[in-house]
Amino acid sequence: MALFSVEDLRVAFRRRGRATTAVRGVSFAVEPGRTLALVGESGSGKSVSLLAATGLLPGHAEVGGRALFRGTDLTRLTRAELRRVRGRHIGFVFQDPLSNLHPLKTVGAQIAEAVTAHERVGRAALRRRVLDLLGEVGIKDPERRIGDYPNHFSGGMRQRVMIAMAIALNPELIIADEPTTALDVTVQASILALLRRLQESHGTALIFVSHDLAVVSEIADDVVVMRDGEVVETAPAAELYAAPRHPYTRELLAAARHGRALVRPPSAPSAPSAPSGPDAGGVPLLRASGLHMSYRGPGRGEPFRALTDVSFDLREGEIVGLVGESGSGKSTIGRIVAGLARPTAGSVSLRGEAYNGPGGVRLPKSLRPEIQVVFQDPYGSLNPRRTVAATLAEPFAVNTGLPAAEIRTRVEALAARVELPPTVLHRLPSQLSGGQRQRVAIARAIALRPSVVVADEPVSALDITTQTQILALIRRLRDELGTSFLFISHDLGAVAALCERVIVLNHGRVVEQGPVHRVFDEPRDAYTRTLLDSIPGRVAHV
Amino acid sequence: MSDLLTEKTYGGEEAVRRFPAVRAVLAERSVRAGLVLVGLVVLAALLAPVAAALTGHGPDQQFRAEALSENGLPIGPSATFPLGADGNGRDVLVRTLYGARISLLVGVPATTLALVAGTAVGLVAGFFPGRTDRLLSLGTDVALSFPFVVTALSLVALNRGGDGEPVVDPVLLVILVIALFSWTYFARLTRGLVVVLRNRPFVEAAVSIGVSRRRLIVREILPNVLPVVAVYWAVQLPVNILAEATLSFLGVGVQAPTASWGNMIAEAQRTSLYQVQPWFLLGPGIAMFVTVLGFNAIGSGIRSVLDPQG
Amino acid sequence: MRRHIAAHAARALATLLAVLVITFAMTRIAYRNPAAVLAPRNATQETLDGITRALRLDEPWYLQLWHYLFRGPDIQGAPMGLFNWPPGLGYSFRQQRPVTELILSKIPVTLSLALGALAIWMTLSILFGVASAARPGSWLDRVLSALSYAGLSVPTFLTGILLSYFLYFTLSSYGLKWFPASGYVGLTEDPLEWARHLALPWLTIAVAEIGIFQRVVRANMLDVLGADYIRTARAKGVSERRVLFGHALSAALNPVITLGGLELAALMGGAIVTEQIFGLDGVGRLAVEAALGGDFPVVIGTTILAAAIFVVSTFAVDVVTRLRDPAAR
Repeated sequence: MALFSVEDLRVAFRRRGRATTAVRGVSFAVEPGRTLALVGESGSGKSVSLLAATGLLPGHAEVGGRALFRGTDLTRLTRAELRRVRGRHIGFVFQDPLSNLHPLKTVGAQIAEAVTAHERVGRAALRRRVLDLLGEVGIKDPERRIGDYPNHFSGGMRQRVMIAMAIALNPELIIADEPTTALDVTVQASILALLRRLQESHGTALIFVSHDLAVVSEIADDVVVMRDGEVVETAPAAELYAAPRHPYTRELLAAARHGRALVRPPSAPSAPSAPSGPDAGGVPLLRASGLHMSYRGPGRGEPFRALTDVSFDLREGEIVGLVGESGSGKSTIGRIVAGLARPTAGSVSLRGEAYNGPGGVRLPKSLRPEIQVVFQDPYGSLNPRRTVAATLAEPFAVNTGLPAAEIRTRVEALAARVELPPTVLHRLPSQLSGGQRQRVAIARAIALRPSVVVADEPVSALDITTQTQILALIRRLRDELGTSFLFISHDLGAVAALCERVIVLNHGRVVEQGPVHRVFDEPRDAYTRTLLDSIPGRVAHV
Repeated sequence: MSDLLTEKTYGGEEAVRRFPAVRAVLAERSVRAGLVLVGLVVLAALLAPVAAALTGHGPDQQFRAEALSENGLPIGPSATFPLGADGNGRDVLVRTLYGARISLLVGVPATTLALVAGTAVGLVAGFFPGRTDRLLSLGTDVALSFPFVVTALSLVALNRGGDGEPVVDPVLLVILVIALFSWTYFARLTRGLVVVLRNRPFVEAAVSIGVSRRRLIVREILPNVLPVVAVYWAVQLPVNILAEATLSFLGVGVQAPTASWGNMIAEAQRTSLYQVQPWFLLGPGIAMFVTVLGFNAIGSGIRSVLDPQG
Repeated sequence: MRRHIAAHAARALATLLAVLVITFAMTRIAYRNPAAVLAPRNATQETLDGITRALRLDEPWYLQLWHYLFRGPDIQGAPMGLFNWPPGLGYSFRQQRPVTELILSKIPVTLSLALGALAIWMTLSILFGVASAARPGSWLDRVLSALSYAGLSVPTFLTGILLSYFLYFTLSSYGLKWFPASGYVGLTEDPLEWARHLALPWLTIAVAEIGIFQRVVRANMLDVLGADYIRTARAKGVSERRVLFGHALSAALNPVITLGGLELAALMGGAIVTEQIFGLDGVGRLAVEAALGGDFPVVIGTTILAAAIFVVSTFAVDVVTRLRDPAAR
């Protein structure tokens, strides 16, 4: 018999008298000790289904259908009865470990509470148990860390604390909702390993929610693919990866594979025949040399070194990837190249003319249009109170003396170039999808035909199918306009698919740079190797 | 030039869609209730002269013969005096309606003045970090540290010229004093908003395009600040209406015989006549409650739509 | 943290200094013949000259300020400037007493009034706010929110009049003398009478403050209750009461503390209207009478006191909220 099964689950949210359906008729089941993955893009209803089944949705949600846990329908339990199931029999691990831990309570107190919510335990025994749990999830020196607050922990360690809370009472089932999405790849790999190990040693069943089929391939026995609140395909993992039946599953799988086609050589730059190879002569388009950046923190002590001696070139019509985990300094480099931040030492020059450095070196007005940026957050990068047309007209209005009619023509041409339908021009950013917003941001960046575009994680906030489209757009723009891109990303797959060369950063230092296939196929640096080994899905050949 | 393009070519027919919030705000129950109450108050203020004409009682006119009993006590509600009379034989209803005029006439300009001054200070402080910000923030702190009532009293006391006559019109002075004590609210609010907006990617993107500092403030930052500030105008207005009433109650705001709810209530309390003629107190009291309640309902209704958590 | 505190303290001192200079300059510039304003009625020319000498009124105002800070009025021989020890705030020629002495004599009343009211309104606001936020939209939430609207919309002076009418006049007309209409009895003299005399004033202040704070508590609780870590607590099986009071309230309290500090400071600077209606002889009344009568040494003294309380309480609130926040420690 299934340990936990959801049958014909329906969820609707009621707001101001109007109901919107989020989940319609979803069914799935997990056997004791097995791992079931729920896969789908944002809005597919995968998290909502599980929260609804366990009574964790806010009051305005209406839930129908059944959620059977060891034969008991959870949707029929009172709040108090449900409370006794959660924590004791079903443990939870959520996505963002920072927002999911109470900021004003120590991690020790929060783990202890997972125990005391269900059992009466003496102080000394409780402390012992918390220390054991911390040790079990791999927190070093638990004696010292038990009294720390979540903000003293790294993302990965916070997720370990979340896992410690989930396993505190040795539940039969753990529900993990995107547990590794907010984490760096190397950390993701270690958390997945921890979950697998705990599951084996405790015989716990696991429901693993993810948007990423590659990550899922590392852990799942069975997979349920969801879309728009419905299940489109349910299959054992091996079967699903070998022979996906539903076209949507195939699409997701293709996107996951495309992003991770590390061995495929990237298409050669077709536009202006750029000199390639490290020994190409002449002045590069953009050169960063000896960049240093340090911040003085709020306390005393050493200033924090964000960048140490970073040098690289960007050639005409080239897409260079800048990869590294969070805190590696990649965004800082992007801001320095874009002229939005100033390095403590070193300089950046365009066609041999230095335009950013410490002291008086500043981007001259004539060079301003030459270097543009695209930011990660498509919500924040557009003024919420201006229409798309107004945003796209701004570069022309500020830098050219063109008449309104001419600007209008150019705006329309620009929209067409980034494949935006003309109907969106009079809309506000809030009325656009994430992908459309990012297209607007890219259009604004290329409006003045810059030589260099710094794209800081331009696809990481987007769904995987949209990611593929935006990456294709960037490549097409490079091919058509000959613009050089500095593509900043934590996603090695995206870099492999898009870039000619790659720069690998670790703790503010360049550890390796070179052509993408060389670096990814024969990494010379140990850190690059770790990074590559952590990419999920390599084992299962996703 | 691009204004033409952005606002007219694309924006015109989309006016409602540009402000989807307007419809949502009007759908909020407390906003509609508040609008009804405030509408009533505005109507009362506008119709005050009509009421005076209909009853034949001017706001400051005394009818000792008709409105006071033999032992000099004011009469209660009657056909000629719908809300009765006060201790001087004046019509409480007419005076209450005229009080609405004073309330709005002081509250609205004082709050608007505070908004303009505070927003300007906040914009500058938020946009220029460092010394400018520190100096303006210190100024805001200083203004906040002054005790409102005592300082207001001193200012009013200082307003008496050598011959005992006020130098500045007392109503104008009350407006200025209230504005002086509420601009800080808008300054802090605006500064906070600008500091956040200044580092938003869309502002940095505008910098990359080469937008000038002035255009950055006017086109990118101000449009995002103004709607919020406008909401807080509605939130601050009832507070300022209460401030006027309090000053008038203490005898330093609007001066008798001009009718203000504050000085009417003060008179009712000082003479204890409200125990004989409760409408002497209830007339202005209820009017004031309705006004402040109406504006509070609108203000917090809009806030709950625009910022569901606030 | 230490650097932050030092910076804040410096800013607080600068603020106070500015308040002092502005108030001082304002009173000295505004009056052409301050001695006549300051003196008791029917004072002789001799007295007026004495006042002029004591305050150095024949010198420029900035020298007078200097004198005020480092020496004080030459009345009793000993220095009583603001920067002397014990600090002096000047001398009221009207009341023939040093300002510090006057203020100190009024402080127990104001302190009793402010702290008692604070205790009442904070307790009730937190209870009401949490109850409202626990079930938003329920009948209890609607009733409490409506009450808070009402409290917010009634001016303090009207609340005071109505309370004293219903709880004093009406009750005493039935022979129930529960609450006295006015007056003050020291806490050390008779604690019960102290509370009985202050009950109505406390209630008057609390009505208005609950109107503000119930909504602040409710809004912040709703905000926090939507946070991920509250869902985590529920996912652990923590009881709803512990979720509300143990998890949500502690996180929602910072804005409440901040606003509470400001309101408390404003009250300690003088709960003028309440003191007036209930005949309490506190700092507020002292200040009002001085301001209306032009007794400006007292005006300056009470203004500086109010500003100092404001600045200190902002400082205290900042320190407390920082201590509560592990990220800032």
